[in-house]
Parts: sequence; structure tokens; C-alpha cells
Amino acid sequence: MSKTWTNVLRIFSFAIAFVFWGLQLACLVVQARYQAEYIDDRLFYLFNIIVTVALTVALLLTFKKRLNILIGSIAAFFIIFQFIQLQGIKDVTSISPDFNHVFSIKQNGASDATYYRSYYRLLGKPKEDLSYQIKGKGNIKWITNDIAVFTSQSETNGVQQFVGTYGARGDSVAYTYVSTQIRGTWKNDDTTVTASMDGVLITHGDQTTSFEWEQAKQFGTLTLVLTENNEAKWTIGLAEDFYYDQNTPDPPVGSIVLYQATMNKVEPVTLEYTGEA
Amino acid sequence: MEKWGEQMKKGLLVLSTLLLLSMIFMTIYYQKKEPALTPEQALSLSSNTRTAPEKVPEETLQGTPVTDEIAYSLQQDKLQITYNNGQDWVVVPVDKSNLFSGEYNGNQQELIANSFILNEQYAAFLYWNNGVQLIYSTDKDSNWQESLITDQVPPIRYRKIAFLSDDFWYAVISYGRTMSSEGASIYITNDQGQSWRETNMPNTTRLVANGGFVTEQIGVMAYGTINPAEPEMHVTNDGGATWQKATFEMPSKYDGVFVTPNVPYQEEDHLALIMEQGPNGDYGNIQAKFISKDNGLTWEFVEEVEPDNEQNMD
Repeated sequence: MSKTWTNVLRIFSFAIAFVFWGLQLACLVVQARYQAEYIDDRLFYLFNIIVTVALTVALLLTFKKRLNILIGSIAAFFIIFQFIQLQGIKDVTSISPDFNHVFSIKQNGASDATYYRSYYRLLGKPKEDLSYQIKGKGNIKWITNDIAVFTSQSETNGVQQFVGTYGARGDSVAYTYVSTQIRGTWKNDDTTVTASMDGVLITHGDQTTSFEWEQAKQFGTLTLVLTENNEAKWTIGLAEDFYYDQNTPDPPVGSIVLYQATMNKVEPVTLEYTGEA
Repeated sequence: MEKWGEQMKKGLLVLSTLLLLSMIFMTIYYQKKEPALTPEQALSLSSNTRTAPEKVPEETLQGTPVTDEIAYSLQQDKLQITYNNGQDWVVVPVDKSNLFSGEYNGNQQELIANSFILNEQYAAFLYWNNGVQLIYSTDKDSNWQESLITDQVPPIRYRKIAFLSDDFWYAVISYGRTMSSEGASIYITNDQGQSWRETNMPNTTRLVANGGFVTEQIGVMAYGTINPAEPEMHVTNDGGATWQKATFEMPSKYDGVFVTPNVPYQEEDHLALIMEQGPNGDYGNIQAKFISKDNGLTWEFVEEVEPDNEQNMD
């Protein structure tokens, strides 16, 4: 490798190390000031590892053999330490398909899991306790670009769904009720959702389940989670093309998304409006 | 040139060591950092510190005011009341935990709303101890009397005691909740708690939101607490013997917004009531006023009102 290239690489790696170190420091200062945290606690160790690796590359390119063994072993020790810390973190994080939002659930030790709302992609603030502990990992599915459904097994109550929503439909000045907006019959090939005054009827394949409105919990202004015996069964979300004006008698326009609460891998189903209930 | 390079190397080494050291410090700091609090946790923390100042002289009770002069306190693990703004306190002979037994999730720092009456004339507290009981005093000298309302129900969830007059007291209770259904009862006494009689109830097992009487004949029961989509209220015009479901003429833009009716009150020649938003309500800090000209059977919307500006009997 020519001397010039060595030089460029050395300066480049040193710059990277310095930038990430500065980012780390800035994040910590902001966190201390504004009661925030990394949106995923692993970011801290990830940044440390990036700084260490970049610094090591810069140093190895500069010094001779003898010193390099020392530099290499210190770096290796430090990196291994960071990796061990990484293993202990049980945060569940997911970035939305359009890269605009980050959904994060943190579980610290024996306390209940906590939902974090993200700021500037990297940082987050605790928003809400889930009031249960997560067993295993759980999974996150973005059923639209602004609805993230977190499905998990709780320690005590079977399958649970928690929803993070990052938007609204229509002009959305006021709080709106999903249950009144989706009144009507919604269909896809072998799935039907009928929402009426009395509740929701879901037919999926050859199975029909009915829910009263009291079994529905609303998240944001976009989703309902339907439960049975305190266990989540389905999530209904308003798709991005959904529009309903409560000041007119017109039926809703667009579609809704139905997502089953199960630990198996399932895809959300998009349903179209077909008429009154 | 050679010398400059050597200095560069030294500088690089020093800088790298500093970075490494700072990262070690950052790691120590990061791992010791307290996790941030959710808004709810932060709130409960600050309210705890507010109601429990670090140094309370042992004799001073922090009362929860009911009127300017009258207050109660649940500190020192007992229920105490004062009629003179905290100068003298009277202990109510009731086990504090019984005041909260049944389905209750709060911090026991304040009495459950509607579960007590405390005014110049009466002090009365509803509680559960192997049955629904009332401890009351009709004079400020605190000659306490106890009355068993019923021992036929399991621990209670919704509870309300109210006195319409000296000889019309009633209690509304709900019990035995499973998921979204439960039982409910109304008990009335015309002899200041000597004997209680149970009325008939509307034919529903939804969760009780509210209940009460406007007059001795006209009463209501409102249902739906978890996520109601529309108001459900039943009305009696014969003191609880028969019930009919009330209908609300709701402008469609309020569909699903105003869902929890309060107990009505008499206004001029008709009845009026304030309807609140449900537990998820976020339509601003607004309630709706309805009036009824047929003793509560049908209700028409009058206007949006702001809380506190309207008389609100419940």
C-alpha cells in the first residue's frame, strides 16, 4: 500500500473515531439534561465499538510491530467487554418501513416493560408502562408506515399486543374513536370484519369470533386491540388510505388492516369497505 | 520532517489514550445511570413527595378538604375528620382498609369518590366488611352508628352513598365483576339506616358507570366504563320498581365522544344532565349538556359546556 493511501486511511479512521466519540458524548449530555435515553441501549456499546475499531486501525497504521501488539490487545479486551454488555440488553427496537419512526420496548430486569417514543431517531423517552413483563423476545410488525404492533408473550397473561402509533387520519384535530369510524362491513378473500353498535364480528377462514366494544382497547387514534379473557386476539388498524368524516353521513373510504395476535409468523390482512354492517 | 512525524505519533497516542479513558468513564456513568421515568411515574413520584413532605410534625394532619372548614385525613392509617379546618380531629371508628376493600386500584390517599358524605349535618362512610356497611353520624358530636346494608353480595367495585333527604338515603353498589360484566344493586332506607330494601334493577350486566336518584321516584343507572361507544342509561319513574332505557338524541359528530352520563338534576321544569367523555375521551376539556322533558326517558342535546361552570350533582 502506498504511503499516501496509508495516510488517507489513517486520517479517515481517526476522523470516524472522533465523530462517533463526539456523538456519544453529545447524546449523553442531552440524555442527562432532558431525561432521555438511547432509543435502544445497545447503541451506546455499538458506538464504543466503532470508536475503538476506528482508533485501533488508525494506530496500527502508525506504529511499528512491538507497540501494535499492545494496542491490539487493549483494543481486543475493550471490544470483548462491550460485546458482553450487549448480550445483557433485552430491548426490542424496529424502524418503520419508511425510516421515519423508531418503535422501542425496553425491559429492565424484573420490572414491567416500558414503551419508548423516539426523538431524532437515536434518542427516546419512556412513554408508557406496558403493565406486564415480556417472556422471550416478542416481535414487531409495522402494519402501516405509522402503526407498529408489538406482539409478545406476557409472564402471566398469555399473548399481548401493544401498539405504537405515529400519525392520524384525516385532518385529525380532535381525538377520534376507531370503533365509531370503522362501522360497516370490511372484506378480503376469506376474511370479514363487521363492526356495528354492538361490537365487532371477525370471520377468518371458517372461524368466527365476536367481540363487544368493552373488549377493545384503543391505541392512539389509529388502532384497536381486541381481547378475550385479557389475552389479545386481533389488532385492527386504519390503513393510510382510510378517510372518514364524522360530520357527514358518508361511509368511510379506503381500507383497514387486520393483524392476528399470535406468536407464529402471520401477515396483516388489508380489508376493503363493502357496505353497512 | 522526521521530528514532526514523531510528534504526530506522540500526539496521536496521547489523544487515543484520552479517548479510551473517557469511554471507560462514560461506560461507568452509563451503567450507573437511573432509567428515565414515564410521565405517569414522574407524576406519581412528584405527588408522593407533595403529599408526604419530608418532615411532618407528628401532630399535624394534612387533610383532604371537603368544604372550607370540613376535611378528612387518611394519614396515620386511620380515618379522621375535622369540622374546624384542622384544629380538632375526630377518629372515625372504621378500619381504613375496609373503606377500600373490593375492587379498587388507587393509592388509598383519598376516599373513593361518592363513597362518603361529609357536611355540616352528616358524616357517613360506606365500606365493606363481610357485607356492605355504613357508618354514620347525624350530629357533630360523633355518636357513630353502624348499619348493615346487605350481607348478600361479594366485595364491591362501584360504590355510592347519597342522602336525598332525612328519610331517603340510597346506596348503589356493583360487585362480582368478571371481564366486562358484573352485578349491581340499589338499596334504599326511609328510616335512617334502620332497615334497607333492595329495588329492582335494569336488565343488564354491563359495568356500572354511575347511578343515583333525582327525586324519590326518578332515578337512573348508567353503564359502560371500559371503552363505551355510546351512552347507556336506564331510568325509573317509580323508585326503582321498573326501568326503561333512555334514548339520547346525539348529534352525529359527538358519536362516541360523549358516552358517560352523570346523574341528572332538576332544572326549572325539566331534568338536565351533564354527559362526560369516556375514559379515552380527548375532545378537549368539554362536556355535553342534555335536557329531558319526560322525566328522563328521552334526552336532547343542548350545548357543550365546560366542567365546573354547570351545576353537577354527581
